[in-house]
Amino acid sequence: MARVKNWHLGRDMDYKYDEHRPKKQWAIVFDLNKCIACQTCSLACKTTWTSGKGQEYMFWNNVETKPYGSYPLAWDVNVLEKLGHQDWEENGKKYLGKTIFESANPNEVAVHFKPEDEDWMYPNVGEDDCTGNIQGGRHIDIELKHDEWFFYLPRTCAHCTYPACLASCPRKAIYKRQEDGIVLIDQSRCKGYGECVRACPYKKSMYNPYTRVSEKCVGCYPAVEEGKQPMCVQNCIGKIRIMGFINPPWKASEDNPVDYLVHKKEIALPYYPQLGLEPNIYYIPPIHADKEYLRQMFGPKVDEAIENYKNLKNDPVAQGLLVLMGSTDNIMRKFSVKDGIAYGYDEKGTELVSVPVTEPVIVRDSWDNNLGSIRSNTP
Amino acid sequence: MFSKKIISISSALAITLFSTVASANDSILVNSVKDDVSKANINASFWNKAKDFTVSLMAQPMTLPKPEKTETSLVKVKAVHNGKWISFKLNWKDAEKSEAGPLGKFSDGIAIEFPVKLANGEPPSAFMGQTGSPVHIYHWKAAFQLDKDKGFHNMKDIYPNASIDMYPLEPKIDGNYPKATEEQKKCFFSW
Repeated sequence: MARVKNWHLGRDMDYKYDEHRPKKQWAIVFDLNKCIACQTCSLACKTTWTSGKGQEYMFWNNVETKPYGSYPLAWDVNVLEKLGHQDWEENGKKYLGKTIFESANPNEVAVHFKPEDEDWMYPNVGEDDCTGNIQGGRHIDIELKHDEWFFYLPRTCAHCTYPACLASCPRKAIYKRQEDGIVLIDQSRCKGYGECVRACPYKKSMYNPYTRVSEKCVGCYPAVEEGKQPMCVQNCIGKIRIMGFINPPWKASEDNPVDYLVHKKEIALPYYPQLGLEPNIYYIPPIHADKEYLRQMFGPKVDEAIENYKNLKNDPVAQGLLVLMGSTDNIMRKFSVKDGIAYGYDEKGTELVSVPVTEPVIVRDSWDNNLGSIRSNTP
Repeated sequence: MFSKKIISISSALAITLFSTVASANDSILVNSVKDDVSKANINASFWNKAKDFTVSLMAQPMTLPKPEKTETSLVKVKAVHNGKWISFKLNWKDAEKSEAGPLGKFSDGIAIEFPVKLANGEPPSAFMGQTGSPVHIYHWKAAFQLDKDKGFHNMKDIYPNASIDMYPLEPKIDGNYPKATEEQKKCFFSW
């Protein structure tokens, strides 16, 4: 058992292996104010990676409706209830409770819930009942204790800094890449024990009954190696996502898009940080959702993150970064905003894309004199 | 209720292990017979000449996660040899047959380990040998047996009621599933 530094928790914690941060850490920031659950990301991933035998039920990327949705069933409530009190210091800078590693029974690596095969078989069923708009055929028959609200939560594997899957594998078949922090299951070393499926609190490690080994989101590493963003990010219709390489706060760089959103602007937060894995997917919280629920998911800093997001209209640099999301297939290592135009660059400083922060508005007459015809909006 | 398995192994390996000793639990006496023991046969008469030994099994202690106890703590073993072949009959209590399949279902299985090379005249560590003294492990699983007896246990066998429309990367072209040649596999795409 080693002591490692977890900057999400503001303290050291126990982990099976020594702290060893990769050269670059793959990370995605999602703007939950924009996700419409079109599921294009889920299908982009499925078409690329999980369209084979044994993968029929798998969604390495899935989108679920909170508060009542989850894939697999009840993954979050089941692991949270095993964690005991999850208290933070008032300002959210330090976690006072225990992580899943610290709460573990001595014979286990992490406290966990064991999913059944059937738990994976109901993606999105009944999730939108809590919008209050469904008259007949509700799946959930309960009195809601709160105003009706919901938000969509798209999630991939978080390629955690301290993965539970990696720690729980008795064969050390799971490894974290030095070059980009992507966590992979070695398909030839895995024997299908399913310890990773049990241990991962986010339930992103999945058993394949055809190959008889387990598999998980690969972070689209072939694309990332070529400087391209993952399929789920590239194909996002709402342009809610940006993938980059995040630095821990002591190395954060202001012109790195992901560092800027997480460390500088502090509008993007990791989800369920109290579990203790230092996950590397970050969310801009949905500003209209219930604050107590959000505090459970993101910690007490969520209130400040929401205020920061609401104040973005006063920050042209942040606004520029937001329009860069979804503007290019390439990974932007740096960005800048000058004179109302946002620019994305690769690691060499070569410009990848430029986007006007405000779309120029052009007013044209309805009659085109040159062509002698009416202008219409149909493309 | 009771699971049985026969393993017949050629004695190209030295059978110096498992000599007769005091407690029946610690070692197994391999009876010498004249019959042909090279084919698995649960009902063969030569098993009557073999004494029953009860071996106790322990939950693996080597790495986390550790099970607190094993589901099967005892296995009854009989063993016979005829100088060329050695055969083991294993008997253990099990409420139901398990042949793996979906998540959470694991297969019944057994393993017998033999030292290949002694370490200073002694058998090497029972925990899969030690440096310089490897072991042979014979591993049988009910799931492997099922594959052998009934053909590879496919998705349709595990989920008979599943409805799957197609596998986009496995199309049928002119009635066949085309396969890439080795040359074609070497081609690497980059965009």
